[in-house]
Amino acid sequence: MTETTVKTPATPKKHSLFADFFKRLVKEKPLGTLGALILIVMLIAAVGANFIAPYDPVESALKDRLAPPSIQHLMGTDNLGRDQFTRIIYGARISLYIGLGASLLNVVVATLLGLISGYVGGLLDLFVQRFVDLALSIPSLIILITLVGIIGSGWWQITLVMGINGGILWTRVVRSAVISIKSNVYLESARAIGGTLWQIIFRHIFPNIMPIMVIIFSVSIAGNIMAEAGLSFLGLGVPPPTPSWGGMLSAEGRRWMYEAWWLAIFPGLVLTIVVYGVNMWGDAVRDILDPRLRGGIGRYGAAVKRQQLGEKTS
Amino acid sequence: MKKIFWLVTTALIVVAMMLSACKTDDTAQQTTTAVTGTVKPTGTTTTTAPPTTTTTTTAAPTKDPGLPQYGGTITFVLAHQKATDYFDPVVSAIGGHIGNVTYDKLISADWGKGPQGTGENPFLASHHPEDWRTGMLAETWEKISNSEVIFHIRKGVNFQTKAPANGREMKAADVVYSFQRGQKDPRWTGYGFREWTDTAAIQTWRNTQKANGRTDAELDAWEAELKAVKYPFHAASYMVATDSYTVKYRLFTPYPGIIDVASWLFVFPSESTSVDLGDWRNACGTGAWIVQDAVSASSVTWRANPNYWMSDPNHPENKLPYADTLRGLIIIEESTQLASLRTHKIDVLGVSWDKVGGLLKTNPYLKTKVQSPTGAIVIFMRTDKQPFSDVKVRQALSMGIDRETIINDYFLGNAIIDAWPCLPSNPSGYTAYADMPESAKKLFQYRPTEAKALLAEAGYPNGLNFEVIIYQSPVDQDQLQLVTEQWKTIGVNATIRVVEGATHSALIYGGTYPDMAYSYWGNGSPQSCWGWAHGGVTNSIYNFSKVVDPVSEENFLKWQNMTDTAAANALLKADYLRQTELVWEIPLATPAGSKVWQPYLKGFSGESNMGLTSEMGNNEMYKFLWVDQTLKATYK
Repeated sequence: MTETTVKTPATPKKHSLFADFFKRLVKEKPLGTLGALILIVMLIAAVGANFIAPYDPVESALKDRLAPPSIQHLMGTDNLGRDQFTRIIYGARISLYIGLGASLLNVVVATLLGLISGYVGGLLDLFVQRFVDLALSIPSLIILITLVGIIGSGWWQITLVMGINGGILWTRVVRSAVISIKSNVYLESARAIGGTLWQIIFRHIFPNIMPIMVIIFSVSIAGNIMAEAGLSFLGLGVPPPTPSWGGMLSAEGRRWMYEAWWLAIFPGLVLTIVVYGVNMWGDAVRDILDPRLRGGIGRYGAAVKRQQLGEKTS
Repeated sequence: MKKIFWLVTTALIVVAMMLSACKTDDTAQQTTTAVTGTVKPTGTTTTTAPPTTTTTTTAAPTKDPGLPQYGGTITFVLAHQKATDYFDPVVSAIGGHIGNVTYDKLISADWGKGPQGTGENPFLASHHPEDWRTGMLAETWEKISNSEVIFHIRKGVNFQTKAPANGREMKAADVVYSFQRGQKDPRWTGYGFREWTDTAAIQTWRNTQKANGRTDAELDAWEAELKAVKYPFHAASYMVATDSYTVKYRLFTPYPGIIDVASWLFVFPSESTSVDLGDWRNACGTGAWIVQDAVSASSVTWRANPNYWMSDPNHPENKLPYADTLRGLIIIEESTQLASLRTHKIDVLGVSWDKVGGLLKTNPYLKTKVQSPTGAIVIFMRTDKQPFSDVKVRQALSMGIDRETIINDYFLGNAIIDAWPCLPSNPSGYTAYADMPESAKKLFQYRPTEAKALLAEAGYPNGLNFEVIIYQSPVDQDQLQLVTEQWKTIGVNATIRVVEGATHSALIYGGTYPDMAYSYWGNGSPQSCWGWAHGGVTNSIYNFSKVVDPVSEENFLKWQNMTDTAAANALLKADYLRQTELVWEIPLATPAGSKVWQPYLKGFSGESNMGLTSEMGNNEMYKFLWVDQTLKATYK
């Protein structure tokens, strides 16, 4: 009789959720890692702007206006003689405040509306979803321009408007997830043993839609940064003299494009890199966290890869 | 493989397009003509902040050598998305002044006195004082009083050969018809036309007038006068024909600028009763151009009127117009306008001061001419409440602005200091900075120490905090940023709030802005600075600073009835100076734009427009211009 030994795949080491996430981000998503690095650089620039920036971002120096890039002014100066590098660093702060703030609000609004609408259902769901239909039928920029026109421009106004508007648009995603979870047997059991509405929502549904919330957050950041830049470009963003990338592109870049190329190129370049990075990071987060994304790139795919790797090594 | 092929092909196409876009127009450069220098607005005191006050006067604009040529096309920009909706001469002024091309006015600026003629009038502003005007459809006119003028209509002027007039002679009845149609049209600001049967409306008018100090006798006399000439009731004015070539124009309230008001009128045939004049096919005036085609939001094309009555005042043997075709391209976006000029798609363009350098960098052969501002940049304040009700605060804020630095280092000299309350183009009310008394002069000077002391005297030793609203204009926001930065030196912390244009208008018209409003304001005519801005009429919707100034009101009423022009102007100047010292508004540096045109557009020296009191004369001058077609061919 031949003795056969059954080799079991090596049990992967247990990591914390965050460690697991970052390990997989670095190993499986190089572009996502790059995106995360860009985001980190942006965070550092925004938080430490006061220490990093070589000049005052709002103080004019008309004698130095429209100076090209040099050792003194790495990215040149604008039409009021302000150092463009400094303003870009400070601009990161606005982009970050609004990008993160509005994305957070997106999540809150989408979760609240989606959770209630999806779980309660009936007339309330009908009403909420028709409202969402209405919001979806109007281009976001039009809504943003109108609302900012009414309540005025400023970083918190923009954050509020973009957060609520984007949140309404994301409601559908959360609602779908809630409806799918609602039909699970364990929820029926929870109801059968006398679980209250809030207990069911917070103990059973909420944890299950957590990954979706994280994805909404990460995917929204780039869109919100762009939307802020768009509003600033249209003159409805953060009022001067506070620097913002969109405002720099519009107020200075577009006006002085022929005389001072650096005024359009650098803010545009930084905006492009950051939005690209944040998008890559958002995609990576989605790929790693979304259980629906299988077929080689999600958690399931990675697990399959690991198993195959284990088989090969055995 | 397929993907790589398409990727390479696309990349090559993009590179080819970029290279062709960057190609320098060698041919054009070979035929470069001298670029007109960056001169300051004519007759204006520029960079006038002390102590180094300098007065710069424009050198006489050059006259185009050579004889005019007939033929060719002149292309210009119509900067109004819905320009084609405004063919109706009654509302034409709203839609990019499209009417000036097809219809003539009673009076206009005298082209013969411009740079291409005697050179008396630099033609850099929209206001042309009386000496520089000439009769168009009104050959001559008599100003009987500030409330009555007689126009003698030019004989032998025919309408264009098309329906409804079919080339018949224009007469006084047409002028009156045009005027009355405007009065009855609700779009024409509703000056108060009513049927006599509408007694309630007439009574309301009487009550309002009596509240403003008019007597029953005056009101009865006006009603009797209207009835005597068989006119419907009108609260402000009437116009009647006294014979086939004479028109009488009357105002209820005397107005020294009565001629300006009546001169705006576009004349069209009296057969137009049942015609939709808003349809370009029905446009029939006495003007130099006949509408040939109009495409909504795209373009308008006119062809030359072969029977136009007017000759070139500088070449009397030449009938006008010179060009065969006139094209107005509807382009709203500034970058597109500039690109069109760069690529010779348009022949002439009005551009802001900050765009000229960029244009000359890419197209050094373009001709440019700095214009005189048609309005002023000011800061309106809520003078009806603290702290701005205190003159010391207002004066301190004015002295806390370093206008000299702003003009020299930001506007690069392309701005003037003394555009408010009266523009330099209005000699009747304008006092140059250099001629102001010291008490007024110092308010334009940067005196931070005095400003701080004044604030302390007014009870604000620790400075002030307030908000300034502004619209979405980068240039204006730049200036306001500089101003607020300078105010910090005197302890004033002003927060800028950008609002949408319509919101800005609503806030200043409603007088509901919180503290201050930065604004451009068109003070194009002498009287407009008074009646529109503030003071003169406390209840005026244009009293943005919410000023209550009884002295100014009294002077305004006195001025309205003065027939001695010299005395009226003296009063105007004196009151403007008084107002300047009271700082009801804070005047800022006002930039001057430029006209930029192609070198093949001849007979042109960068003239602003041919209006009298406003931009109503835009587009009117194209009939005098001609195209050097040989030269133009080299720029293709």
